[in-house]
Amino acid sequence: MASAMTKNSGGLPLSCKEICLSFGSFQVLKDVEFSLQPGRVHAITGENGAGKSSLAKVMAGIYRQQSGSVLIGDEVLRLSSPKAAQSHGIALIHQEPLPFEHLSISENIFCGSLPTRWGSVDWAMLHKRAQEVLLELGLELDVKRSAEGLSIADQQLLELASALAMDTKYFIFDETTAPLTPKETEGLFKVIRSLTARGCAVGIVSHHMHEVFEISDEITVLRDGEKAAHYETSETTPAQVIRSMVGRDFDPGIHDRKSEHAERVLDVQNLSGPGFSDISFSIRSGEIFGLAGLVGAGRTEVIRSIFGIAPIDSGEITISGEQHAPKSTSDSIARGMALVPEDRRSDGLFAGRSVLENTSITTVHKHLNRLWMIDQSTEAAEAAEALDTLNVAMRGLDQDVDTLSGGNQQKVVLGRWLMSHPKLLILDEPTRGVDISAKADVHQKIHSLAEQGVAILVVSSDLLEVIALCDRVGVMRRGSMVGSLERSELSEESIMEMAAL
Amino acid sequence: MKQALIRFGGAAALVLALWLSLPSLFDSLAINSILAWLPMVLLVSLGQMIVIITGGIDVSVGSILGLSAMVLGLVVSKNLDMPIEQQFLICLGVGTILGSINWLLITTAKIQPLIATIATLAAFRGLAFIAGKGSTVTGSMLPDSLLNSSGQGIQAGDITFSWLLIGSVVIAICVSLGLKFLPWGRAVYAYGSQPQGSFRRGISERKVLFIAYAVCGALSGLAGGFYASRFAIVHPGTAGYGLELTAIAAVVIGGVKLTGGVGRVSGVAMSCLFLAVLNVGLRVAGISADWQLAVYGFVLLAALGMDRKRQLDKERLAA
Ligand SMILES: Nc1ncnc2c1ncn2[C@@H]1O[C@H](COP(=O)(O)OP(=O)(O)OP(=O)(O)O)[C@@H](O)[C@H]1O
Ligand SMILES: [Mg+2]
Repeated sequence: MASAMTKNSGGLPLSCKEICLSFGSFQVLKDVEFSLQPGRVHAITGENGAGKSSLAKVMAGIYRQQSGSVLIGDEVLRLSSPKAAQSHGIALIHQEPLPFEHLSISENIFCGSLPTRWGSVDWAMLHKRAQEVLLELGLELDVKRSAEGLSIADQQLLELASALAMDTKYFIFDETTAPLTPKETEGLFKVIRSLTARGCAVGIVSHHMHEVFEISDEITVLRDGEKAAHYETSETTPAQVIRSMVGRDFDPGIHDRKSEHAERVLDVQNLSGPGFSDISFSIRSGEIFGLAGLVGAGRTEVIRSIFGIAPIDSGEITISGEQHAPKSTSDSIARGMALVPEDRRSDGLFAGRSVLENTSITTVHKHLNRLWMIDQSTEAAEAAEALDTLNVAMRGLDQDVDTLSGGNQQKVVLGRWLMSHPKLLILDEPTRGVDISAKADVHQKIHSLAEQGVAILVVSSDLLEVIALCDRVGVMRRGSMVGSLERSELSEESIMEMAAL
Repeated sequence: MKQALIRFGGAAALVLALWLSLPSLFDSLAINSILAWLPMVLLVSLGQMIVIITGGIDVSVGSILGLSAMVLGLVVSKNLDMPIEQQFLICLGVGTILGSINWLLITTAKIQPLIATIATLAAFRGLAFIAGKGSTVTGSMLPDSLLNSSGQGIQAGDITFSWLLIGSVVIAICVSLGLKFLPWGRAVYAYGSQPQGSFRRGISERKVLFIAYAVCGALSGLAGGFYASRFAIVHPGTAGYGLELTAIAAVVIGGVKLTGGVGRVSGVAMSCLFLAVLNVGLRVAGISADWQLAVYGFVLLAALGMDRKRQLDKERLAA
């Protein structure tokens, strides 16, 4: 078994020729051309639902194209399963990672190709090699603990670790940077650069233009399943790429909200709980407050405790002047709170159910008719309206939410809570994986909610988002609040300086 | 570690309480019947456990046991000096075939495990009647070598550790080691923990499920031989009837999650022992036969409730 350090020989490009893919009558990819050259980074961008993940999945042997072929050099590959793709050295780091919660981190990394001795799993060797791979990634995790409760960022890095553990020559990163802060993204880019230096080929899907321009050598833009454009990165500009993405000139718009903060909606005093201690802040109605910090700084933990998902050790929470000691999330919902969770797959979405049910689940009790049955037409109308403002790309309200693209799943979760008219809206990474224009729509929506008097708490690793949205930002480091910044003081530098140090 | 201590402490307290309130449970007669009850249920529960770790369920185990016992009885009644190993091999073979039928229904025909095995629960039971043309295999038709394996074994004073008990414990240890150290054992856990994720990692769903259902069938089939040996009679309608419920209860009380991915042999073995003590205890305590089943049910509920509460507490802390 070759280690992650092996030099790559051969150095043939991986290419896709005239790939067509459809689900039923719905065509997702039309004659797409794409290639990964050894030593180079090829970025794929496009709006939500453009087909980026689908293209990646074709190369990884997960989806089977109806026509067209995937080749290494001149050899046509038969990618009948992920295993077949892996045997050709192709690995996909998924946008929606699926870790094995009940298994150890080591097993998560080596699953499917565990090191054995005389046919039995060599646990000592397994843990040792897992440790080595994680070290290479600069990840500090106990390899023997279970993968339960890992953040999305760590889950994706685990997928990268398992790609490194196999003898991978072609890496495809599907929005791996979306949950990362700039500092961690920098770390990931270092890994990517060392991969290309070693002769590996890298594909990367991202909605962040500055990242695409920093790391890539060439860019392919997908629009509605077709290749809209291809550029050498050095010969193009972000504006040009965005134009071919959305098919028009794009103006993110500037939000200027008059903030007349009135009543204090949320007041947190000296709160301590699992993963954080002594946190104090307050939010007034109509105000947007941000929690910034590195991944693992304890931001998500704080809001989980406020919402009643995790316990509180000490400290006080007051909601509109009333003491709030949540025993469960329904206490919090009853007080007018809403939470859009970070991990939509495990906490937010009802997989296997329709888009409609997923959107209306929190408000469905308001649509009962005289017979106490759900009035389906108003239910559908209201859901359609909420999703419309977010531009969800779907075939219809009855589509299985599982088959929506990643960004569109996020929009469904958002749409659900926008429908429920909360008093305090808590957003954890609200636009992870959401494309540029939809992100502007979501921001617009958040601003208008604030204007209507909703108090909003935002956790985001995307500093530009924090800056675009927040009136005030609290910065966390290693579980404590290290400072706060007013709107006028907000900049990427000022936040990072406090967060990292 | 701490949890293990708590469990052990709990078990010890239970035994002490039982001893004080029901001393006759600890005479050699009662202990022998506990030890005699154990092997068959342990085998079936081990198979069921592997299936449940994959996130599936097999409710046909009782019928597999019945059919395999029936086939064994019919074969040996014409061939009374067949070596004992061969007799058990027949049971294993029949069980494996029946388990593979379940597997085909679930993977190739893509029927949900519960539905598929409800169907085979009925079908296999029916076959047991058809195979023996409705007749019963009685003790006189069975060879001594088979009958002796449940009565003889290692003697410690008045207490008998029968060959069957020893065999089932050895098998439990093998299953435990297999699940921990063989790559397919790990694949069973990975698949149960995250089926789609294991597909991405190149783990074959068909192989994992084959291991689960074929092994479950094989162990249930072998338990058919144990049944014939212990009861010295095989009636096609009653052999193994309702055993699936006991096995599922043993698995769930043993800490295996019905949603898959979690479970250990040690837990299941302990809970089989618990059920054995409960079963014999109810009889020894003189609870009337009418009441036994109901009391049994309530005790199961209580055990499950306690386990569930502990899990919830743990989850809340971990979150
Ligand atoms: N298994 C499937 N069944 C049906 N439709 C699917 C399936 N997978 C993807 N689609 C559809 O294909 C389209 C493209 O999806 P894909 O995930 O490739 O988009 P994407 O470009 O990665 O978007 P995002 O930026 O949101 O991740 C979407 O409209 C989606 O609904
Ligand atoms: Mg995608």
